[in-house]
Amino acid sequence: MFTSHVNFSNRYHQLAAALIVVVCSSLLSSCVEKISTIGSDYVQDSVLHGTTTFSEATVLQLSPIAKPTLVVADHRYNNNYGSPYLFFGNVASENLQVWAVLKIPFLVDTVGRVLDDSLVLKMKNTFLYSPGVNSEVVDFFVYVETGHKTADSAGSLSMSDLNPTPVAHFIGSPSKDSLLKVVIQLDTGIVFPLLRTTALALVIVPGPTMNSVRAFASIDNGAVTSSPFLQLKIASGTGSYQTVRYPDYDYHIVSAPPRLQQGMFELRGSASQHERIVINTKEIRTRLSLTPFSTINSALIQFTSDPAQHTTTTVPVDTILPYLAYRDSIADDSLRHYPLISGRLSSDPNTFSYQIQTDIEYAIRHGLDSIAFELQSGFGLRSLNGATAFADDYNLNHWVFYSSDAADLTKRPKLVITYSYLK
Amino acid sequence: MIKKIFGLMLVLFVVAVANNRAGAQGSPYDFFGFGNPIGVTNTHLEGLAQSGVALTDGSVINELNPASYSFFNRTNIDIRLRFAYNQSDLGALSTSGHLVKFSGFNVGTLFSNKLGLGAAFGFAPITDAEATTVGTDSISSTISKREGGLSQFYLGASLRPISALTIGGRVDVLFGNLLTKYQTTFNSTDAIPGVFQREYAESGVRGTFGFMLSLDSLFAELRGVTIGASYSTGASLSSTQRTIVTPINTILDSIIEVNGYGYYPSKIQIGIAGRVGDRYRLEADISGQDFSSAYTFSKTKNGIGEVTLGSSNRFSLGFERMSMTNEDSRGRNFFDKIGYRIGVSYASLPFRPSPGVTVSELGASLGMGVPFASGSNVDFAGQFGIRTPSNTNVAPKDLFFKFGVTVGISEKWFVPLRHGDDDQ
Repeated sequence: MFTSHVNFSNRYHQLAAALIVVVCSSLLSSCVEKISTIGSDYVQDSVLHGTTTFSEATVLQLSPIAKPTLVVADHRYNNNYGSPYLFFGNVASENLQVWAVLKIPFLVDTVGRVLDDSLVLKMKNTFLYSPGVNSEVVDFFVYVETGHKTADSAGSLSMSDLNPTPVAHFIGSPSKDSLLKVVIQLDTGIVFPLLRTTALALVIVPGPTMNSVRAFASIDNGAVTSSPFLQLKIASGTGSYQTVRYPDYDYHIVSAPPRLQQGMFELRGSASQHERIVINTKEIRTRLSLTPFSTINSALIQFTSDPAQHTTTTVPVDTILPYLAYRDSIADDSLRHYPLISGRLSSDPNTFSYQIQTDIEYAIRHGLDSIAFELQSGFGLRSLNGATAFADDYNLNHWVFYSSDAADLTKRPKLVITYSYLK
Repeated sequence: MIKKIFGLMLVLFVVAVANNRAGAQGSPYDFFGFGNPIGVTNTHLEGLAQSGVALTDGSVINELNPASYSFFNRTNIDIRLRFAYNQSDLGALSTSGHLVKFSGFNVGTLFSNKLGLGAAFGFAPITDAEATTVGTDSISSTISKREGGLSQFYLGASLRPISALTIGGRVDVLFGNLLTKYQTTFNSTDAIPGVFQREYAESGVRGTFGFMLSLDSLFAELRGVTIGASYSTGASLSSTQRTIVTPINTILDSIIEVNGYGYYPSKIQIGIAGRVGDRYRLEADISGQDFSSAYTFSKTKNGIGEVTLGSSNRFSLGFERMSMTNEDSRGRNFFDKIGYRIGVSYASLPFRPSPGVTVSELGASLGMGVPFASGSNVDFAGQFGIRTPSNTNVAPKDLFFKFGVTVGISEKWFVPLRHGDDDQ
């Protein structure tokens, strides 16, 4: 058996011995810790890293795209479907013409004769797009369309699609009310018979003295009290009564012919003017000797705009910067992912930068040869058939950017990639 | 009493685990190969400047020479803890850090006095690979942190074929992980850090053989003089390289595994010990290990040795006033019973930080063994020294201090047969 040489029988001594061990250990382990570059040359495996800027067309392929449709939940919609605004107006300097369309529901035979009809519109007075001019005139005609051209939504209409005789004309100046109510007497003789068909649509066409674009609230504006409607006075056996008919759907059609200049590209959401960017990730992988397990630490794609050619509306929502959407593939109808909002470079406020690190890294990791993005002038969330989509038809802003063939090399789009990998 | 000893062991173990936190770091030389070779982990031998190949002490589980198991007089169990502080300087640069590590546990016993049949098993670390450094360039800084090292589980036995000679053999199962974590942080706030991890999981088996020869049985004039030697074979290792890529803001974690081979070199140690009177002992050792053929990972067998490694050797000299735990200790005061040790060593280390640059180590040690029961001790040892490269302009100079504790208990679990008892 053990014969104790040191008296550990006292509990205080045992506790003290344990405390000494713990305290000594703590003191020893609280020595000053300092690291430096000493030994950095001795590390067995090293992390290789670098930053490379690509601006050549072999890596960044840009092309304009006018895509008036979007695919949501396997359904294709026109961009202008379900917009909260109805734009209308003219801007002569840009050859911009915007019409609004309201599809009026069928009026059944059992409803009596229409004695009187008025179109009631609520105009958002604060919305104004009139670049370079100070135009307060609101001038528009109301036409009817019966040729089934306006079903659901449409990308274009022309005067030949409309009944040549307008059913109303409005000219005036908006008051300073934030929401102006416009009541327009329609030509009952033309409208009433057509109400008995299923194809009647009222089309608001800007008049010649209007040199701006304004906005009415649509039926999708979120408040029934702001929605446009047709106010009808119906004859009855005892006299007459009033009723209203809201449009089945409404939308606007924006015609803005491209004004492409050498070395530039332009964006305008409501005209579906986008820019597609296809990034050759295979070329990046080859040039940087990246493996599928390389880390992309940063991938900033940058575009420089020409501020002199940038125009915008007066509403704050239109101050949103262009956004970049990742596409599932380079196909036109590929799904758009949640858009990336840009930031202005502090060194150059006209250059917009988008972080696409996750997308580039995914492509490198999965061996994709290329990935596609679409640069758009803005976006709004829209619920279409229960699914969320990013639409930009409400956006009249016009952006002009330097393209890959711009004479000034410093203003060309560029992709700045920072990468690292373990050798 | 045994509960108290196990309690103290438990405290040591908890302290080691609690302190083995992420911040632990040793010398920058730990980045080389398998890391910094640990000569011994037994605190008794640490107090003798890592000498002890010829040490015939029945209370010490001597990891240097399996032939020593024949000298056990009881069942010995020990548990070990070590602390190390290192400061490295290169020009105006300075790195310092410490580590607290569990140094293993060992069990040894004697089964037959007549045959000198002893056996031991246990766990002990072989190398320390704990270092941190930061590299910078114009766009980023990279912190590289190495962790782990090589360890061994061993099982060995010894015999005394003739009264003057003991021979022993041991099977060492080598295993360990040499892990390095990297984090590259870029100066640009747009860039996320690059986080990588690479580890080499090593495993293999080697044999260690040794003998001890008591010269006094051959020459009466050499009373108390013993020579000993041991040889550990080189070990072919199975080495698996695992690379983990961990992007911070994605879910693209990946583990890439590559199977390969490693090689840990053989080691030879020769020593001589002499007794002076009843309480004094002198031990001198020399050891050599050629790391020029060592490599931690190669995709093919018979890989090429790492160019940053070379041959190493160590000369150590220890002197001891032995502790008293037997009947002779009765009536002596406490300090008289304590064993005191002192040692010096010189080593040429296996590191080659630059072509043609070698690193030498000059060290000294102090130790003491406090007996608290018959055959049981708590041993303490402090080692301090300096590692100096042959060119101090290209490689760092290390100043180190190590402190070790071994708690060993000794009890008669088996009653070894005395000489002649086996015949009964």
